[in-house]
Amino acid sequence: MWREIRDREAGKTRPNSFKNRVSSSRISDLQLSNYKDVVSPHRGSINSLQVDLTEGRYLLSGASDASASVFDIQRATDFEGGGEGALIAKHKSLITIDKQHQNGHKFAISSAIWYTIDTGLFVTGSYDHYIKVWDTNSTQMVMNFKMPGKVYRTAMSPLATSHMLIAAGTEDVQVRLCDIASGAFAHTLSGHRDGVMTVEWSTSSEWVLVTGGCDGAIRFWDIRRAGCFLVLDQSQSQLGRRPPLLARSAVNKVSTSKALSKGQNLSVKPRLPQKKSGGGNGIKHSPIGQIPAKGSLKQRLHPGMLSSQDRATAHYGAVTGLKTTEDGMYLLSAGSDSRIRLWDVKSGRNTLVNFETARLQTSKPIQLATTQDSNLIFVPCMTSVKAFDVWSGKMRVTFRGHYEYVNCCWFSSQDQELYTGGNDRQILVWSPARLISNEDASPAEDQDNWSD
Amino acid sequence: MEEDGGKVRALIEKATNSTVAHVDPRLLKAIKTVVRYSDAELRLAARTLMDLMKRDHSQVRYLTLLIIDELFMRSKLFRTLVVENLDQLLSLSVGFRRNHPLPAPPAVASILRSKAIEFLEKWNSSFGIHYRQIRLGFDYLKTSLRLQFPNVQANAARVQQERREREMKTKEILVKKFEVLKENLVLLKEEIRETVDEIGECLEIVKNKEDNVVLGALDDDDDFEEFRPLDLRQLRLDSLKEGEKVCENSENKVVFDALRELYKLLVTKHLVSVKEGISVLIRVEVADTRLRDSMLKEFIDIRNRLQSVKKKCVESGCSLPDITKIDKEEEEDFWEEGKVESTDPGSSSEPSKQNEKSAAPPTSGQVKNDPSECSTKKLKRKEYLCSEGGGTDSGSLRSKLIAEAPVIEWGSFLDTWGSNRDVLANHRGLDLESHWGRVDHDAVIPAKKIAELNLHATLYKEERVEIQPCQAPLAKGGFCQRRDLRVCPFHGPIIPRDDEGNPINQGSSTSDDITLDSGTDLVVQLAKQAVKNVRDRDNEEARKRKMDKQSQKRAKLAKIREHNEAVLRDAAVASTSRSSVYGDGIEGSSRNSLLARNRKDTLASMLRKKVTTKDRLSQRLLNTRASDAMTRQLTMGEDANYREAFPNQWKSGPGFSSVTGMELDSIECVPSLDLTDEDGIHHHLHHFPSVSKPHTTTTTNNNSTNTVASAFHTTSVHELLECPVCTNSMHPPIHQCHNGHTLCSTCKTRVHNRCPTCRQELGDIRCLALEKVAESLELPCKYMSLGCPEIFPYYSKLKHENLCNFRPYNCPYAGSECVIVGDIPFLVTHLRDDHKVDMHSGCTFNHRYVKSNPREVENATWMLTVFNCFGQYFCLHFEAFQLGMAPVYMAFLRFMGDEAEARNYSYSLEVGGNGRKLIWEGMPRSVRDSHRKVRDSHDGLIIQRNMALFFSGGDRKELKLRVTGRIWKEQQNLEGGACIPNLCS
Repeated sequence: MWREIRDREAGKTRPNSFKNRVSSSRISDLQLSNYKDVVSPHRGSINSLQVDLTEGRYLLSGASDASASVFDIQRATDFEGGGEGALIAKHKSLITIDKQHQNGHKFAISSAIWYTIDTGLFVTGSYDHYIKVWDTNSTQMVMNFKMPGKVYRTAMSPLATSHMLIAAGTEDVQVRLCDIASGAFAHTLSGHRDGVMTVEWSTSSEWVLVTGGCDGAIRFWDIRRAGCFLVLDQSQSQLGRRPPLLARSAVNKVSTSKALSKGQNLSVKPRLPQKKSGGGNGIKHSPIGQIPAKGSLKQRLHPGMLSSQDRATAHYGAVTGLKTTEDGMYLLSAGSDSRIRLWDVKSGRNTLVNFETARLQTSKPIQLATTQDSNLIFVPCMTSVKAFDVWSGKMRVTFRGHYEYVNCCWFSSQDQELYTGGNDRQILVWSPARLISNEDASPAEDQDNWSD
Repeated sequence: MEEDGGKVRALIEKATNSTVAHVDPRLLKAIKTVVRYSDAELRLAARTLMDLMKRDHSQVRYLTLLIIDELFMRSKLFRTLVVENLDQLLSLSVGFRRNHPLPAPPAVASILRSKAIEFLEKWNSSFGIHYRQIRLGFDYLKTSLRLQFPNVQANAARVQQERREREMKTKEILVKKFEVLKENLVLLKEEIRETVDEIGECLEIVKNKEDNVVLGALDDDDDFEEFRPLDLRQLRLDSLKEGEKVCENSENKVVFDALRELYKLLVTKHLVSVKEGISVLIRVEVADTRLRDSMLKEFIDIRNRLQSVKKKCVESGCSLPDITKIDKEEEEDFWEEGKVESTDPGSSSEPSKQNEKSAAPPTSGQVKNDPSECSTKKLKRKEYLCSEGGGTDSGSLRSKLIAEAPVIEWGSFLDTWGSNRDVLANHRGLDLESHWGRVDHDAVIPAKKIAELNLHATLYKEERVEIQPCQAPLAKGGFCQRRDLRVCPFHGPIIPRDDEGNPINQGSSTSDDITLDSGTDLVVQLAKQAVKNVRDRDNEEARKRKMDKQSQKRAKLAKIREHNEAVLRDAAVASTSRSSVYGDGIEGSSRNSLLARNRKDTLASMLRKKVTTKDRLSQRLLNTRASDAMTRQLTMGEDANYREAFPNQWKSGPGFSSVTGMELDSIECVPSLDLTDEDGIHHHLHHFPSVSKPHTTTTTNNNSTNTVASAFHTTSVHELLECPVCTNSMHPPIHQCHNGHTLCSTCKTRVHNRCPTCRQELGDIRCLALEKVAESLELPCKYMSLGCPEIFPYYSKLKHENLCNFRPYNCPYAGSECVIVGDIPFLVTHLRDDHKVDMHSGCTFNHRYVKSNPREVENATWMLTVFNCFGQYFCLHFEAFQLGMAPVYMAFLRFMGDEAEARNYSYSLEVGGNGRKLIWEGMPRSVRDSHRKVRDSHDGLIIQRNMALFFSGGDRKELKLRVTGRIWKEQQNLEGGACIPNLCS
């Protein structure tokens, strides 16, 4: 640790790599935090957790008792505990919206997300068929959307600059995009054959939305076009990830990825000539990427209508969780078949990474989390949360602490902390071990106590 | 290291392999010492203990838990190790997970649970601050599952508080009393002094008088002394001594009355109040102790003085109350015999008897005294008859006689006591004229005969002595309530026991009796008598009190009896093997030696129980109610919690409790579950919603899939569009009645112009509005679940559904009217399994059809073979039928799939023999086209029967056709034109 700092001072390591090194070492020793308690005011299972994307400071939680709360995870509300050594910081909720609130939800909140631009708004989706938008400061409802069924998941694009749409996956087969600006549904995306458990915006393009339904399909939508442009098929596979771009091309990586996303977007047009070159771009690098003629034939037909492709499923059973990696190149999905799959977004193929999950919760949408460098994925596996290596699928850590099923987790890359919420109504904080543990002898010091 | 590892593991396993309720302390100590100096050992110990916790036996788990607690409280490393798996540990010890209840035996399981909860609380209070996991677990059990924690600390604090309050209260009371005492002290002293003075005066007077008498009497005594035998003299002396005291007569009666009065006052009032005062002074805590001390001193002085006065009184006039009492009793013509009571401690503590305390026998002796007391009363009358002027001398004689006299119940024979007159036989003058023979009117019954007749016959009455309960402590808590005379069958000879049930050595009490009996001294006897007499009088007043008390006691007894019954029932249960096993665990040796001869005390024996007769009896004895209560008790806590935690799954709860009731008969060792992966265990409990189950969805009502899918936003409208008669969707023209009830056009013709809803005349009114609404609806295809993605306007939906590519296929088997529908994989399995169709893979085939009786065409033969190639399935049909008048055989191929896909394939069939050959090339037809349709279009290889028989060769008697063929995929099939030939046209 100190050597690294010295290296950094001497300029031997670059700031970025130094930061990455430190944060990854911190991530590797996450454990149940004893000095940080989130005091959950919820009386039902926690369904959703999110730390705001702007400051990384406010944790928003949504629970089954129709309540949503905001916690300040950086400044504790009070402290508890004996000596210096074991000081427990209690984080109590700053705001709680529950059934007693005049506009509160009636049934369980399944999803609570921050407005991506700032912390002035947040959005809750509930089983009472409503999506509500709240003003954080006044804790008043500013807008609501009546949905055709229970809302399973809402999402807002983290990159969106030109729209502020809430994508909502509901019991209904259609995915709706609710426009906060106008207060109406901007889009209705139909294609799924069953309720939509999870929605996720692409992290590379503000126009691309990924949805996973109870029918087992994962669909990609370009919201500027009609219909979905890609349905992931678990039987279409490639081995492993595509080799990363060469180091020297890292400079134009951004532009490439832009081009790629453009290519994706364009691929919606069925008979676009340069589609092939765009699509083949990534494949050309691939050692295994000989796409059979049939694949291109499929692409040519209208994707929404071609039955054989349209019926493709990504999971047996429902897709319960989706998470795009930070660079938007890969998509992780969890299904009620207890599998986690890593998809290459570009080629739309299953990478066949074997994640060693035992069981996943099947009946509820689960919320996955990844680290910033997308090396680890945190998956709620029944009563525990497991961290997997994204690329190898090896299980790294099991976080055991919850007494009932875990529904959601959120990784705060700023503090390298993991927040998990489950049916036992607890929000647990998993943080790296303290670097400098205070060794002051306190009266209640935890020591060996052999009497004989 | 490895052998060391073996050591701690062996120690732990040895320690847990026991049936007693605690860990052997020596083993525990050994474990601790081994573990203390080696982290590796500690880790191993933690692992071993966790493994042991997974054992399917509550006793093992319990002992393991005890060891865990011991180590947990000591080692930090152990804590960190345990805490990591705390949830697992808790689920194994508390058993809060529904799917993993605690294993048998249930009795130990419940102890295990309570112990685990207790430990968790302890851990939380001492280490919770350092371990979030402990806090979490504690919170979870407490707030989510709402388990009852014993709350040891809070309880102790509360008890402390209560005691403090009580003390404060008593102190307050004492202080108050002290104040009162301080005020009344002077008054009291004054009163006492007066009384004492008066007593002194009275005594003075009495003494003077007595002295004279006694002197005279003593002179007499001296005179007699010479000519009396020694023993008589002694007797005399005694009686004289007695007489010394008993000296009340008519002249000093007033004085004695006053004395008695005063004495009573002294004893009942002053002495008591002084004693009270002293006790108050001793206990009270006041600011100035000086005053208190002085008061105390004063009081003690007063008491001493009072006591000396009392003694004087007793010395001088001890027996003076006696006579009066005897006199009084004399007048009482009714006397109820005192009941024989085992003990009556209350009577000895009567305040009025305190003066007799010195002389009063111990309570155990009282039983013995009572009969003699009774005898006194019995013989009183006789005594008076015999010795009229008994005087002072007779007193001693009488008492002696009383002591010797037997106790006789009162009867009519006492009327003639002592008379020896003859009685007239017919003294009543009964007329016996009609009697046979001569009547002797003067007949006399001799006294001897009378005496004979009057012989008193007494019935032996058993003394009703309450049989003491055994009182041996039971394993379950409480005491044995068996009442046996000498030996309790369970706990050996009955011996007196204290409250804890421990035996008391009782040698002293018997010796008491002996000493009492040996005290045959006359004085003592007299004193006894006096005591008795005083008591008798008091008894009279006490009786009323006693009556009340008895009724109270009776009520109490009834309650106790009720309780006893319950306890007995429990005891009956406890003495059966079921609970005795548990008792073994608790009690260890003493019961074992009695009950279990030579029984092996293994853990397995706790699980495997033999059903003894006693068990069966107890089972019958314990009706369901009792057993229910037991199991309920066991499971109530957790059930309640489950009810809270899983309100939806509660239904299966009672099953669990019933199991505990049943397991008496059949307990078997369930192979222990491997709990290493919690998740793995849930596995079988979960149901995977599967996507590809087309046959189930299609075979069931197709309507439902359609409505379910589309119901989300069109539910109400869709319902409106449902015909009330046929429940199909209505299509224009939609009709309605005058009242607006809608009806579809097909049903309208069937209802005879009556609205099926309101029975009104229907008329001919269209419901254009509904038609318009229906037009605006868009619904997904009803084969959505089979993959059809399309959404149609209401009216074109029906049309589409008839043509939908995703609609299910019919079973291609032609031999029978099979109604099975489904998708291709389903149909293939159906054909294979239900129709036993031959399956072939590969794209070429070579079949030989053999038929022995080829002329039968009417009973057309169908042969069906399924080929699997190119990932698709094809059906090869071969059949015989009548083409016009000509009998023919026909072979054709059908593609199991859609028309469009069928066009991608071609096939050829060849049949031949004898150098001739028929070749057919064509495209397979889809199985959408029915078998009959294909046949009637003659789209296949048709062989005239003659030809076929020719091909068969031989004597044309038998059909032996070799059909070969090939299926291939068309390379280019883009002409697309659907060209389905109909060769017959």
